[in-house]
Amino acid sequence: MLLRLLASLDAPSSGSLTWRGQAVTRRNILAYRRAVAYVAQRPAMFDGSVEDNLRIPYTLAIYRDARYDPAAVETLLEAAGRDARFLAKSADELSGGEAQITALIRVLQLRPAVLLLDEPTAALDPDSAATVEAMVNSWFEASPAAAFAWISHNPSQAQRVGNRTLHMEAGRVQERVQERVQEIKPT
Amino acid sequence: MNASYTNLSNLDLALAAALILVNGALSLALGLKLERRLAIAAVRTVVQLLLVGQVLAWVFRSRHWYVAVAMMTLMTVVAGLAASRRGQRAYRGMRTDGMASIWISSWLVTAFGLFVIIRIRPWYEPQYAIPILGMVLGNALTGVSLGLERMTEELTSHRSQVDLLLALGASRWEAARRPAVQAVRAGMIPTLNAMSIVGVVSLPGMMTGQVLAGQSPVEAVRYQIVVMFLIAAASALGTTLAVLATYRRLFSAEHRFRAERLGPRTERGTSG
Repeated sequence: MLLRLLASLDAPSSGSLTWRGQAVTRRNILAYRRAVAYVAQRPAMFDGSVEDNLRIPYTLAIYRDARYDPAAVETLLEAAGRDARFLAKSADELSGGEAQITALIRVLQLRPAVLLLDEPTAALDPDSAATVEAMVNSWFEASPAAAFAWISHNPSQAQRVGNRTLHMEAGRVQERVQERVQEIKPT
Repeated sequence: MNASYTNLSNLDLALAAALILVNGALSLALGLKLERRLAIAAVRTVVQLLLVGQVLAWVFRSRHWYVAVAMMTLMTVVAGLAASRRGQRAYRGMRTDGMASIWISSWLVTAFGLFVIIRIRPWYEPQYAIPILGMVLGNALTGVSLGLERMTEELTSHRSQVDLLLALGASRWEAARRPAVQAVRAGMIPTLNAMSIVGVVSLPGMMTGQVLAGQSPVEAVRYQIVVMFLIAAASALGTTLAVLATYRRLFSAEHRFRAERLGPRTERGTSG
């Protein structure tokens, strides 16, 4: 819920969302969502191949200045331990782990400033979970201006991937946390 | 109207109604348990049509524009209320959207047919206005209700795809386009099917009626052509209006999908 709010997919019941000193309004919200990429726990896939799914963002007006970059995708595939044959796979034959890897490549190729990960490994086997962690890590280390928020129910994973850990327990604490992260600035 | 036209007596009607015994016998023989519903349906057919005949005769005689307009309004409201009754999903305001789409599309298109094509005089001539509006309404109703049903269904089953597109930075229209296109297509296909088989597989009721009344088939088909195009335009316009209205209600100006407004149908027909 918190991340859906940060991705501005849900409207806040109170308070406001600020990005780089500016309130997020209907005028800049699409650019904001381009900069702040949200990855759901069970990522949606469209009919077609993995590559078709990777090309989906480029059909949107907000990415009209960008082009699908096969070399960048290949680099990301390598980090996930896959080769180019993975691109031809049909999206409806992907396992949960493969779908999550596809979803991550789909947003990482767009070079977002912030990554919001909503329990990205909760439904995955340990191998796929490790791959996802490694992909996020290598993306994070390669992009000096990046930040990410990772929701996890696994305390050891939280310790492993995060620099700062916020605990959330029911309503009261959740409210305090929301106040603290309302303003996200790339570090 | 024509010398060859035969009026039907009450005895003739009774003979026709006796055909319901065929259904009754089948129901008894096969254990369909439909006897009660058959009897009720048969009585409703007779009573409703006899009443409508009386009402229409009165409307046709009255020569007041407001009587004709009141009748047409009643027909439109009944069709409009029926438009949002289909489907498993509903949202608050769906009934209004269905009503408005039916009303705007069928009255606009019927007005074009009556005033521009047929050029009736006086402008409310009920003998033309009421049957033509009725045919347009019936088909706009099919289109609008199919469109509303498909749109709410697509948005429910493809919610994660809609959210994904929005999260990537899609505008609300980019996110809703696929479901909306599917819904408008679904609403328009029955009319397209009807247009391609008309006259070959089915003889439309209006044409049949004109021919029975002694009109030459060559003339009757000319009216049927006009009506087919009125129907096609009204159902396309109505379906599109309904789908756009749904889109406006379920997507905010901040490009958010307000899925919480879309819920299972409650008994009152709209979701709380």
